Amino acid sequence: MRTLPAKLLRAALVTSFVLFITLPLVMILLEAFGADWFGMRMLPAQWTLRWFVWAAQTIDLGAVAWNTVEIALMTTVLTLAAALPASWAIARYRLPLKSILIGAILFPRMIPEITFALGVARIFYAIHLTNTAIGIALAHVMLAAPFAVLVLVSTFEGLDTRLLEAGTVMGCGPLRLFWRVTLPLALPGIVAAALFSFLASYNDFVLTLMVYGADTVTLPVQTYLSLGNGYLSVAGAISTILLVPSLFFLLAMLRMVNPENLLGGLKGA
Amino acid sequence: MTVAAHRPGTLTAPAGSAARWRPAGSARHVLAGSLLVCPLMVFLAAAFYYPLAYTLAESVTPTQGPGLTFAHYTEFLGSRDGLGVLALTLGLSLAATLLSVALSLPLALLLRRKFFGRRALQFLMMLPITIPALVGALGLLILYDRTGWLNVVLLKLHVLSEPLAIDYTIPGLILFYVWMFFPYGGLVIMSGLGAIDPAVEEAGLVMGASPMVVFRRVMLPLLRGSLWAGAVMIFLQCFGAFSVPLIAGGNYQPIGVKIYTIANVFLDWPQASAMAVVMGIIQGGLVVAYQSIGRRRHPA
Amino acid sequence: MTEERLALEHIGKSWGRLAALSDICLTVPRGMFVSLLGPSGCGKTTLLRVITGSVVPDGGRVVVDGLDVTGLPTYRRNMGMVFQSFALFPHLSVADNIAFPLTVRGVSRAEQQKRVADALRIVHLDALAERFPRELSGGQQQRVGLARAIVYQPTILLLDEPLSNLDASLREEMRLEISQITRQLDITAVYVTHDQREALALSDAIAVMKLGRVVQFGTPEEIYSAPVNDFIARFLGYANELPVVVADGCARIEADNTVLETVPIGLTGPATAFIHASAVVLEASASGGPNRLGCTVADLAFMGDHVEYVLRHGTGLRLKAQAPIGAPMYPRGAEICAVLAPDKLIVVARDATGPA
Repeated sequence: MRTLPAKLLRAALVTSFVLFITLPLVMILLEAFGADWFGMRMLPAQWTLRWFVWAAQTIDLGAVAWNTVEIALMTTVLTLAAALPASWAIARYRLPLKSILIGAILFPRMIPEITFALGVARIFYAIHLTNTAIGIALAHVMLAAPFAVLVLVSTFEGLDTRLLEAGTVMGCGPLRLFWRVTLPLALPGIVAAALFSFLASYNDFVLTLMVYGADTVTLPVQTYLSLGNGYLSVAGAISTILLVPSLFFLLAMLRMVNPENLLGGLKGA
Repeated sequence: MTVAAHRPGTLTAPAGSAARWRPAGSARHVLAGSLLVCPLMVFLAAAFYYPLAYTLAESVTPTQGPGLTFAHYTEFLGSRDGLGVLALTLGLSLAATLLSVALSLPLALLLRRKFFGRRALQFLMMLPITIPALVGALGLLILYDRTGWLNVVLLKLHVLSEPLAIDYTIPGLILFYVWMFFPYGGLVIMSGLGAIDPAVEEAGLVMGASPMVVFRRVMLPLLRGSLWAGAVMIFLQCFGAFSVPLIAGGNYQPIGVKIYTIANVFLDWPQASAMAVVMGIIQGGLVVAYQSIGRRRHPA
Repeated sequence: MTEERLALEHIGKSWGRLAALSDICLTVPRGMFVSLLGPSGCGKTTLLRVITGSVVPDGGRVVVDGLDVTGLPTYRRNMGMVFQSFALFPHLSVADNIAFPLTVRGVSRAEQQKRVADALRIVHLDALAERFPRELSGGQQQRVGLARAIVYQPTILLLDEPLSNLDASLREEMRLEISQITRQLDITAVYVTHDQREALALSDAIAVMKLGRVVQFGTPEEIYSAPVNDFIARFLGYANELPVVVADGCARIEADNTVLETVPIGLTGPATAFIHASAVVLEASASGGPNRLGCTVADLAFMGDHVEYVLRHGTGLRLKAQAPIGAPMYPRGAEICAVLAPDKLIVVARDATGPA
């Protein structure tokens, strides 16, 4: 049944799918690295880095990028600090009302960000947390924590209890057991949770838009602002920088896990 | 501790011992577990549940002065404009969902067989839902512009004499939604397909059913659950979409963007809050539906 | 009655550079039960799928009842198949599963009901018609699979390792069932398995396969008593093998040139002698007579109805022997004599094609 028309049809399907998915990103790159791209031209008339330079000079791209990274790092640390013990408890302890607890932790991912972003904006404004890195990071924890808990709980539940018991039988103390057995076994899950937390914060636009200020502009917000000011090429340049961690994350994830397992966590807005 | 451990009735796990991860159910055990969960719950309460409650409270507060009112709800759900926003949001989402499923099904069938580049295609499929939505929307706007590649190619091939207007139109917005959200459905359908024993399909053929009959009578019924789940998943994403319609919606403002505009431009926070509550309830209902489908697919 | 039902003529198939099937020729007369026996990767399942049409051969013809069906799609070949994974339709009840091929063929509703009921009676599942596959045990599911494959009287019944997903205890029962039903209905069947006992017990003829070729084709008795090479002998479960050299019709053990007395041998050069453990008789001391090997008892195990010995010969050869209960017992380390009955020894050529 592998006839030539069938093969051609499949090749055509695959090709149009690949183009459909990738061309928008190609456009971003052309916009960012090209100049004099008008009318019926397929490609820009010249290649240039001027949009990056311009962005660096006029809008202090360095500070914006650093804001983004700083907030993402804070989010990662806060998320892990809260999610690690909680996930361990959920996976390994008998807790009252456990299913309700899990529901309460996952709920922030189930409703649109904008619905609670309103309240976050109002409250943060009242207690002067808007326009602070820690405030934005705290809001981002709500995006990162549910997925981190999902990953970590399944990691901790998946730990082979027999290995831990074997360690104890062989004379490992609890602390050494944690460092030498538990942690190495759980590391892939912890790294996945950390990477995701970083990315969720780095890419976030909706929540940041509601609580950012002049000192806490992030790359996604700056993309939006540049677009609003009509600087399409500058927006393209910033988008290019914005894309890097996502692509890195995607590659890392595909090595580690089956794509479908990421469904619970990823959510565009 | 040795003494305590030998006292009858207290032979529970000594703190920090290897037996700790066996659920013991003792009061101390529950306390320790609860303490570990505490930091996360404090975060959640402060930055999610309190804001949510605040929004709920604000939605029943009059725009001016104290009191309790449902005027914001009746204004939204009872006005032509409000219902228009809901209809626009639901219509966009429904159209994009149907198109996405129609795209996902053949793609999933194609990706089922092992062939060179299959992994790369799966990678590509994840792309739209991993990158920032804003970046995707920007790329789509450039690609489908009046001077974008699609129009340029079609004009040069003389398929068109006038460029197509895609950006800032309803069909364009649906197209953008499909690009952005179809992977959610595609992945669910792919996993559903993966759960079907390939021998079942072969059995159908050997018994004399043509490929079309096998697809209709065997594969489609077996995929029904996945198709529904995938569709709900896509619909949820479309319904909650914000970045894409914000920069690519033009004059069309679905509910997410409308809420943002009312809050940040018109500063009518109570009205925005009421709409946010309605949005949350619709989305929550869909999530419950999705999960009940999931449970039916994988009975515990 | 020896009319050909299925003929495979020079079938070849490669996956890339790997030859899965090379030049397979096989004919199956009407009503015959033929097994394709071989280790995994020998091409037996590929050959089965060539017969169904799921795999298109690179060369050769598949002929059914004198008609070339090589180019015919699977669903037009009117074959029946029982799968290793059962492959029941999970969304259909037992009755609907069995009715599926009838529906596809446009059989009337009444006729369907009658034939489904008949098929269910044949596999003893009358009571479970309305159940769903997931509510059945593995054995029951495979009975449904069998009923579904025979209900439309296919020209050929194909069985792809139908017992390997069943518990050991169920396997024998199901094997007897398959044997009974295929004989009772006079079905032409091709049965794929890697289990030599299944093949021996069920078949009228066995094709032993290795690396995409049929190495030997014959009745179970022929194959068991006269395997054509050491690969087949080993595969059939002969426990003891002695490398020998045959010259002038006389076999000598390679290691020490001891002459082995055997039935007449039709080959010369390096060969392998095989004998079953139960055909090795133990004696306390060397007495006169042929094929007596002085050995040390390396290990022994009491197995209930017999005692199993592991013996070491001076040349480093290891022999296994089974002694009946009641025969004298020898402790570990005992020096004894192993007698290899000449008429139980088979000497076969060495297979030159390398490991399977």
